[in-house]
Amino acid sequence: MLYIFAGFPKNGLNAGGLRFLIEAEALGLLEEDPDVAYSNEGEHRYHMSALCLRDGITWDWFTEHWGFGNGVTVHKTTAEYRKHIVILEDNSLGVVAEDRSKYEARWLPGTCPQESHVVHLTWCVFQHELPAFAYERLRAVIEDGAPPLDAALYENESEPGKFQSATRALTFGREHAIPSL
Amino acid sequence: MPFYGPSAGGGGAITREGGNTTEGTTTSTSEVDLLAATSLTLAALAPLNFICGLRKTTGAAALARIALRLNTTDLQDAEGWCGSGNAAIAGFYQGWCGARLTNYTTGGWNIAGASDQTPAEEASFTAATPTVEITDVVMRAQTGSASITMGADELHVYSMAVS
Repeated sequence: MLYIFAGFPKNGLNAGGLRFLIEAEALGLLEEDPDVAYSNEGEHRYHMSALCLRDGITWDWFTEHWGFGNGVTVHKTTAEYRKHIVILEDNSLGVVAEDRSKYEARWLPGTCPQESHVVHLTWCVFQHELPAFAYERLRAVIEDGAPPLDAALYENESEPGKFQSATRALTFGREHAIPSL
Repeated sequence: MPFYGPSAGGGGAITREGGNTTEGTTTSTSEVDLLAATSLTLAALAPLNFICGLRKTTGAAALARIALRLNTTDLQDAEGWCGSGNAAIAGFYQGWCGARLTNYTTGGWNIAGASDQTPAEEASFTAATPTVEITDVVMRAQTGSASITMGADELHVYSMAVS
């Protein structure tokens, strides 16, 4: 069964770290058979988290031929919205936003972000349906950032990126600098 | 209607259309949509360039694969981009395609290489590229073992001026 959660694991775990946690805490058996590939075109059982639905992401949000694979995936999508400044017939300047109706149609009405944005989704494919306690623990880890039971297990000095994704610091180039008066 | 606007690159010849600057990761042993740039407006006649960083972790003697999708079209089967040693390996992916128009719809290819000196994998697209505006660029991934993690990061999509 496919479980889809909003966001990425807030405790910094990557897909491999989340897989390790699922095994260490005995939350369930992941589906890892190479012959099994979940997609939105097959007859697969799935569950969207309440946070996904609140944010406007339903099963219809995923485009045609979307591949969920198996195991654990932390997916990231960016959407760029651009506005052009054009010269109008009366020689005034106007702002024209590109047509995004097709993209907006993927979201529940009124929920599509109106600016450039990021969508993070984490999904896990299990062999069976999870019991309530396991689902809630997994949801808390991913969506609430609940820490692993033994954080030291996920730290690897020789390979820092084995179970964790590196944090990134936002930097802004000169084009974003505000000149001092 | 004339358009006056800023352009990236020298003289506006190359424009960064979009991208993704933090990583997606997966343990999937079947193809999965990993990292994407969406709501793009890539004109059918604009040559395109796609660049993406790749990595895999230790955990098993297995390689990892990468593939490109444009809109809903998979351009080729996922190709291995690194060796199958049990090692943490970093690599890259770069893809190109020319103008996409009738009778010229498989004019594209990609190359993927890694730090373990594996010969870079080169492959031409085996599927026809969309001739309509491209709105979605998706990096698809696949691992050779669920015990390793594959990551993709710093996806950048560039278009080139045609006049």
